[in-house]
Parts: sequence; structure tokens; C-alpha cells
Amino acid sequence: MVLELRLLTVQDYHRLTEAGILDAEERVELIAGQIVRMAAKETAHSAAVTRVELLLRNCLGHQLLLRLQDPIQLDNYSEPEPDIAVVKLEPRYYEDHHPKPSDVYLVIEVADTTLQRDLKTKALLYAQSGIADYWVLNINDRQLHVLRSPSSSGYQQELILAEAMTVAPIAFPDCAIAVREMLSSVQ
Amino acid sequence: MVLATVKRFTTAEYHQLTALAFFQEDDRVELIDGQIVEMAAKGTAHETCNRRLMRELLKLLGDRATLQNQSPIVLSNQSEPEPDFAIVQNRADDYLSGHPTAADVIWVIEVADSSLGYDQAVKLPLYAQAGIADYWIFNLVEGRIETYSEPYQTAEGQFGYRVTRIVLPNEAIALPRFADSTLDLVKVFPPQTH
Repeated sequence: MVLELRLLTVQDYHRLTEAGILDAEERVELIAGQIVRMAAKETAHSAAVTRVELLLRNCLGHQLLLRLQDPIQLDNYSEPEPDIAVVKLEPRYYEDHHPKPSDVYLVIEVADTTLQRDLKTKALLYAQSGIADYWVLNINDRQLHVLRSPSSSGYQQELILAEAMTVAPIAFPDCAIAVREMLSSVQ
Repeated sequence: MVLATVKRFTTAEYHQLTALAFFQEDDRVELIDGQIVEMAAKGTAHETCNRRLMRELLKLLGDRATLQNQSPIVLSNQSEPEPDFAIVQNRADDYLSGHPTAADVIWVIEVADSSLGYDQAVKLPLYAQAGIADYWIFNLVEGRIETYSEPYQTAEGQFGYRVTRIVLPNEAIALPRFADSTLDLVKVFPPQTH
């Protein structure tokens, strides 16, 4: 039975942290008005984030900001912390407000144990807030999901790329990255 | 969303939220298994039934127990519902030092209109799990009273009540523990509108 939950707003969420009810150590994010625990950082996950970060820095240089597991505020009820968010430059480095969807070029989630959540719940959330380019790196199956054409019912386009393929962000078409390079080298 | 990953609030955290004025005057919420749940809006049939029950129960109980109406009872460190009625043991300080716990509760009554599904599917196992011996639902949807007793637990960790009785709105029912007192349901149940 679906409960009528009292949804938390972003303001509520920040107040909870300020009041010390949410430990600064607790790895949580606000998704559609509920506080959700993030998965623990396993080594395979962290290594993948590092690889992808370096690949993006190499070809994108300093024309944008790369944020790693930092909040973006999608709307009044959601403030996720994506593994990687490629966002517009901002003179104060988002001192006053977290990046909004209009500031975001690309979101990437590295999926180890969270594949279903990343492909279903989070995809819907990112699509509904208009994030044009959303990638999910499935490190266990060695594939990259590329989700595009956001709508209120989700992404209209999903490509699943095997490791031999390359991909470029919509906003930076010259930045071609091989999926293989995002993944660990096969032993 | 997989519920295992949702953060559950403890009653201590929930009380902190209340102290921080997190909830507005018209935010009717309760804490169920660590989640903050909105209570259903108050319809007139629900409120009339409440008023009549209050009047009749106070007469019948006298000073033998404490009657509370939509006030909290603390069932665990993650559940603090606010049942329509809880009949609890008398305490000298009238629970100033803390809300009644499950051990203080004699029986619970929910008046169910739009909340019937919730009272049967969510609250029932919660009350059974807390060991509340008797639970009544005034089912305004179907025009009858459901009484539940003898809480049980299965090997798989499911909770329920072994014994259910249906009592009709023109009948009378003895009070749990105070069996010499009977509640005449004709005085309580709102007339059926259909």
C-alpha cells in the first residue's frame, strides 16, 4: 500500500543538515522528497569515476566545471549528488546555489550495485528536470547507457554502447571518448 | 524506490523536527516505520463519529483509564502514530514525561473513512507488532466495526491479529478489560448516508 508520505523540500533537507539530524558523514541525497542513502564507495566504483574524470578533463579542458558527487538541485524536492556532473562555469563556483538543470551539460552515474536505481528512478528524475545528456556506466556488464531527449515521462532515447564504441557529449561533439577507456582494463 | 535505501527517522529525530517547527499547524503527520506520513483530511462523518465516541467512552470509562484523541503513542524507536483513540493506563503525571508507549496502551481505535486501507494494511500490522492487545476499526465505508485481538507473529516476521469480529452498527460491544461496560453503537455510528 502506498503511503501518503510527507515529502521533504530542499529547504527542509538543508535544515535537517544544519540541525545535525542528518550527519555530515551520512552519505545521502534528496530524491523526489525522500532522503535516500547512497551506496558505499567500493573501489571499482571510485576507480571508474577517476578514469571518467580524467578522460573528460583531457578533452574538455577549462571551458567548464567538473563536479564529483556534489549536489545539483533539480527542483524543490530533489537534490541528488551524481558521480559526475559537467556544469557551466560560474564566476563564484556555485558558492550561492548548487547547479540547476540549466547549468548542467551532462550527468554521469557509475553503476556498480545501483544499476536499476540509476536507469529507472534517477533517469526519470533527470529527464523530468530537462537534463539533456545522461550516461550510466555499467561497470559490471562493461557497457555505457546513453540517455537523451528528456521528457516528462523519461528519456525518449536510450543507446547502449559496448566497450568498442565511442561517445561524445551533446554539448562537446569533438570530445570523443572510447567506452573501453572508462572501464577497467580486462585482466 | 527500494525502501531499504530510504533514510528512516527515529522518534528522537522526529521530536527534534517538531521542536524545530518543521511541521506547520495544518501538517497532520505521524511517524510510521521511520517515515513521515500525512494523515488523511478530516471528513464530517469521521469527526462526528469521533465526537460521539469521545462522549460515550468518557462516560463509560470514568476514571478507570485515560482516553486520548489523535495524540501520539510511541510504539518503537521508529514509529509514533496518532490513533483516533488510544485508551491508556492512568499515570500521575498524565504522560508529561513522555508519550504513552505500547505497554501503557489498553486498546486503540481508528475511525476509518478515506483511511480504511491504511488502517487495515499499514496500521494493523504496526499495532500487532507492538503487542497492542485490542484494536478496533470503525469502518465508515462499509458501516461496521471490526475488532481485532490476539496479535501474532509469523516465522517470516509478518504481524497480524488472530481474531477478527464484525460488529454491526445497531449492536453493542463490551470494552476490552472493562467488560462490565458496553458501548451502544447506535449512539456512536453516524447514520448510513446511502
